[in-house]
Amino acid sequence: MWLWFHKLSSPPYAYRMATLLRPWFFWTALALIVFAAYGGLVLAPPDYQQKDAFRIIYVHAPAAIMSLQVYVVMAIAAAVGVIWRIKLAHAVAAACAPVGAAFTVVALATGSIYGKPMWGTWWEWDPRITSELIQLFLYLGYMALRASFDDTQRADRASAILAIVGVVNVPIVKYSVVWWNSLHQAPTISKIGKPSIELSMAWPLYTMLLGFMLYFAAVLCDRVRSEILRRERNANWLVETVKTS
Amino acid sequence: MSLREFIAMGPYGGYIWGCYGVTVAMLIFSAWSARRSLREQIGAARRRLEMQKEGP
Repeated sequence: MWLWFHKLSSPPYAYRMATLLRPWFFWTALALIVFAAYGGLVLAPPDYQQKDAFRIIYVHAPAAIMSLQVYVVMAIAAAVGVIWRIKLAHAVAAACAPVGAAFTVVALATGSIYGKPMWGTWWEWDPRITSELIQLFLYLGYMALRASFDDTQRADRASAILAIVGVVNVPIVKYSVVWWNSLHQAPTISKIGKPSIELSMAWPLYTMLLGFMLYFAAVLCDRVRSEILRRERNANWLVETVKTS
Repeated sequence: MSLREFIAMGPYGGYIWGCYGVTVAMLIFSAWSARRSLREQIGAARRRLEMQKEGP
């Protein structure tokens, strides 16, 4: 396990792995997303309350779940980077932020469009919506903080602290609909043991989430490679790698 | 169900297609910008290494 961990944290190995795995992640993700969209838009029956409008959930909920999951990955990577002083972990954390921000924008935008026909408003200063907006600002703040340092090592350390502290917002977003009275509907799929959704409606949701996860992995592969290239400016192994890729 | 009905989605067509459009646009943009910055970094690394080879 430790040996594997050590090997993985070596930049040349990680760079090669990212190059190798990226197409697998990407094409599988694309297939799953297309399949899930077909399931959500065509195969799933209309909801008895929300009629066809509920089909928005198939992009909205997975994007919102990803906005939190990507942040957790980013915070863990940042913590690993600080604790064990692994540069690659910092590279992974830095690579997570733009993708996480993109998912957060999708969650907010689709939520806003979802809100109009369901609640009669594009925006409400509701606990769930406000905390998700803070989530977006955490990503943007993280990226801005990184960009404000010329020295990568200092950027790594400072931004890692923000990433780790910011993780408190994740449970706030997740449980905001339970803790406070919210316009937002309670979770549909995460109720333990007894999800309140029919299988015919549920499977596109899980498939879309899996598709988004693999998509994230694919984009992360590209972004981690960029980060490694930026950091390993003069390493010998780069000569061969850059020639062939 | 006709294609017209499918696209209309009752009264919700605009909202639904708007959401899927936003999502697809963001997925494409995010993947494209990651690719682009990788290309840039590879190009920069290649130039740097060539300069070193020619250098003193």
